[in-house]
Amino acid sequence: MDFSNIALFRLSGARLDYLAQRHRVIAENVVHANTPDYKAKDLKPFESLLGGVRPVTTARTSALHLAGGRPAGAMAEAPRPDQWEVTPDGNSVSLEQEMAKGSETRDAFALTAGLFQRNVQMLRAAWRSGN
Amino acid sequence: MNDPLSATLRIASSGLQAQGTRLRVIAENIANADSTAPSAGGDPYRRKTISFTTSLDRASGTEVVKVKQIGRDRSDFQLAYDPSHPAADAKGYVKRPNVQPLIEMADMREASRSFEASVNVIEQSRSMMNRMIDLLRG
Repeated sequence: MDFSNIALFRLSGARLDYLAQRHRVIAENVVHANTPDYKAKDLKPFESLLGGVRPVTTARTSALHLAGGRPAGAMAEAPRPDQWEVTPDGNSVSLEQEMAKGSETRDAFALTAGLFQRNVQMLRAAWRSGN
Repeated sequence: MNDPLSATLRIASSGLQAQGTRLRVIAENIANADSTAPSAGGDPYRRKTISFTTSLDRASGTEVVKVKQIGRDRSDFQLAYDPSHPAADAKGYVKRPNVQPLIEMADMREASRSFEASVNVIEQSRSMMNRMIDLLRG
């Protein structure tokens, strides 16, 4: 049986992947809190992944081309993330905002992992009662 | 290495390292706030500055932070009249280092705040990883 054929597993898997990627972007922002001219980044909201838009990646027409390192599609960075402040040296990272986003991401991750786990438990209950 | 959570740890540790270097420079400045010239009429200790830049970590394809350069503050020295001082020039003036303790203290607070933020990110990442491992327990 392939778990990825069950919609809920596929959705929670994509959500966990998205949250881990977002946390990586948050970490990049946090460590650049004191880098001049650094612009804070964020991912597009997860809802854009649900719109059914196929992710587009750059084609590799030659074996010598390098594969893109960044995930495409919904994992793309938002063009204009909302920013709380821009300091005079051109840095737009607000540590308070990043901390808030970080805990939000962690909590959403725990929630999604919990859902995943509960679904596994339901499946297990189903095949246990079967024999 | 494509796992975003371990990439996060790598990014955050680059931040810890950068802020640690910054604290070291601040400590050097504070320690030398009264270091005058070794010879009469010479230049005293010149304040050090530090700046950061973005660097691409090829192993994980992420943007880590690194120290761009440790420079020197070009601002003028303050003169103090003290003819009995060994570093005094012919007119009796001593050049004092251009270190301002207040600026160093403010810098230090900012560095430790950024350091704590990176530690916080590591803790968040660790809790997400542990949540992932908990899935295996069923």
